Amino acid sequence: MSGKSKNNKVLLLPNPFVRQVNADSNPSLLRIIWTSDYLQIDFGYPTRSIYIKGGWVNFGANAYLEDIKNGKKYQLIDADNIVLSPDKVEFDYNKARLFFSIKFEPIPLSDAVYNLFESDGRTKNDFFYTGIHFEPKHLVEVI
Amino acid sequence: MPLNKDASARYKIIDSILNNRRIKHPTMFDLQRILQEQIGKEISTSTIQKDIKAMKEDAGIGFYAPIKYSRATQSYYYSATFTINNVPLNQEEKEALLSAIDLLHSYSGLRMTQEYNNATVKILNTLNEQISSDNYGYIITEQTPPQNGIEYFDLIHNAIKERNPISIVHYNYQKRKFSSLVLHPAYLKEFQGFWYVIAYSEQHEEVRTFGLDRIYAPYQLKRKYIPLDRSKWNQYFKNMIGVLPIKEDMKTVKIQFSVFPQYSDYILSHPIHHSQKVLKKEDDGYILCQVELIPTLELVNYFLSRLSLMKVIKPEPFVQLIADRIYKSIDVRKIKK
Repeated sequence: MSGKSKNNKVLLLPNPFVRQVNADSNPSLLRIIWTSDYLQIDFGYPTRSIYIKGGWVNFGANAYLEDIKNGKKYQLIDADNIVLSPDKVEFDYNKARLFFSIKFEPIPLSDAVYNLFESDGRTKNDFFYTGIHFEPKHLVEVI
Repeated sequence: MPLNKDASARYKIIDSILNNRRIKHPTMFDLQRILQEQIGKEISTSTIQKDIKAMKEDAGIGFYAPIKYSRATQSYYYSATFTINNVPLNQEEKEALLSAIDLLHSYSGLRMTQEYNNATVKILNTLNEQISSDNYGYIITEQTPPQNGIEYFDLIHNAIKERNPISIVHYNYQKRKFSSLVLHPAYLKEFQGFWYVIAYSEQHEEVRTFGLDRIYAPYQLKRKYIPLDRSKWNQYFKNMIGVLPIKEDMKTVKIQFSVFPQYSDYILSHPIHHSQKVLKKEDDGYILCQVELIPTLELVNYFLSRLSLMKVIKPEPFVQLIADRIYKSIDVRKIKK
């Protein structure tokens, strides 16, 4: 699929295939929204009872997407409804939930597989997702 | 005289003929010919005479059209510049419209859109009325706190009208899980102040009901729309109370319940559903009733909220469902025998 013909469109991938996440407690990677200006990924996070009052959450300010084929990185540029590290938001009970979006630099409109890391120096607290399949043929145009 | 639809159409045509400069002296024959052409059926001269009289004199209609008859040309004409399109509403009609606006204002507490607000202001401006506490606010409906997700009402409504699927993120309260779903929305349904969308879900491969409060970030999609059989669903809605059916088969069930004496008058004057029948009236005031409904969670809740007033007797699975809820809600070990 040519990127040129769809450049001004907003395209949505309802259920991207993700090969692996580092923990079940990671936020669910729900949707990918492609535009020529940025790539948005939507997440949902129900707090876990293992944490007192739901614990806390943020997203790594240095998060990036990495094309596993050529190693090219696409940096986080914006976030919606979640704070970026080092800030964090404390939940007030362990049945809370959070829907949030992270925006990255625009990626090409072509078949690729990406990894998403919160930072280079990964810790056990970091979220990461590997093998995020991005195939334009599965994208649907947003009206 | 009430303004019926046929008469209203004839008045408009007569008005347009009398204002048409190309027809210099419209005779009764001209009026009859044009009316018949435009309405597509035979219209007698006596009907037209009655129409002219009504347009001139009928206070209920309120046109007071200055229609005159010229003996010289045997034709009808307006003796002054006039058209029924400019006739203002009379006071009663204005008040009826203001009452309707009042009712809409009351409901709009649940869902006020800018478009609705603009429309109301336009109507009131047309009527030379002002929105003030003096001319509305007399009708009060049950107000619930704003529902989460109500801001998506217009987008979903538009998707239904335009037959567009939508992508949503849905949160399931019981499973505590987010999912990304593609829905083909068919209805927005309100129940007790809460709004739900009824849609075919691609992921579930069936029609489901989703509370707007569980929906995040919907987008309309340019994708083929899967419609529902509306006549079938309209029938389902007639046969259910609430929005959440217990079983997927959507079959109606005959539910029998006994109503205690102190509540029997009430249930007779406020039937649960149009299918309600009284099967038996006892001398001591108990009545046995039956409704035929698709069992829903809301129907279960209806009976649960009236445990001291009525008792469900049949069918067994429905009775068991209510019993299970009662057991879950109390600590049986603490009940004194």
